[in-house]
Amino acid sequence: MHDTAALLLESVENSIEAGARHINALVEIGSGKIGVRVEDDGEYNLLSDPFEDGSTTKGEGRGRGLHIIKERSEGRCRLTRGWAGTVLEFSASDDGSFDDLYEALLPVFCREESITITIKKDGRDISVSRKLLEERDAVPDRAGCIKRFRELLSDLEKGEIYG
Amino acid sequence: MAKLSLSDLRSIREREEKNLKKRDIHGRTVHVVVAMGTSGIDAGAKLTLNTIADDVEKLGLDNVIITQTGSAAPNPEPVVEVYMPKTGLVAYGSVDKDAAHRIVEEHLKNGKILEDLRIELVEKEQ
Repeated sequence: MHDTAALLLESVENSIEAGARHINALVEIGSGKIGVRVEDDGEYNLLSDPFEDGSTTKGEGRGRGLHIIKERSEGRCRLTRGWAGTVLEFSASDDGSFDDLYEALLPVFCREESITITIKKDGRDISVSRKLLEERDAVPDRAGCIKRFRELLSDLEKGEIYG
Repeated sequence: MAKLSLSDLRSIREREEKNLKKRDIHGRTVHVVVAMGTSGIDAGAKLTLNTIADDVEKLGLDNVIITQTGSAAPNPEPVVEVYMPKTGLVAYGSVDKDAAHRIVEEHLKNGKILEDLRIELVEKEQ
């Protein structure tokens, strides 16, 4: 079962599958809802309804990710392409899956792609990027770095890291 | 990087097994791969990955590197693969939170393969 944080993970996976080199996600949390917008520079071969179950160019048994996002967002989703790239947007109920940013974001950043995620929560913008994690030696894929990743997120939530 | 198919995963496995004989991965000798495709996430792979990361940190296993790959369907997900020079490549299926704890404690820390969780990866028919 996908919680809303898993839908973000699914969206990032979708971008990576499309060959995206840069992925920027915005997660807005408030009023009982979570809005997600994911921009990437991937190469999509969009079908008539990419949210249809099994809609894929990747082979049999694939293509459930966007369909799950459609189901969980109760249809509040769209995928658009423009000159700057592809944008996936959806919103879902706040199920608390972003209450612990460490748990929500570790699976997203435990990988090599250039990903930036901005969380708008409690009147604060918390921005985490692969570049920042590398600078802080906090890419959460090994002992020591996992601890630093947790501490970095905590500091960002408290507004103790600037610039 | 595109999401990997199981055949891609097998190619990587063969390559990694050769590489492991020659060098460490980023200085680490143990490589843990969690399948994080749609079916894996649906089966709880996010919790599996977080549990492994937490335990690796708690136990200070600084010879371990954790990465992820795409779908491992039709295998019983969440699927976790462990590459270790001592044990070679071992794949585990249906890795829930408890199983993830055991993999870290018994395989990653002590080098013992968990036969009750072990699976032979099956490739999806095209």
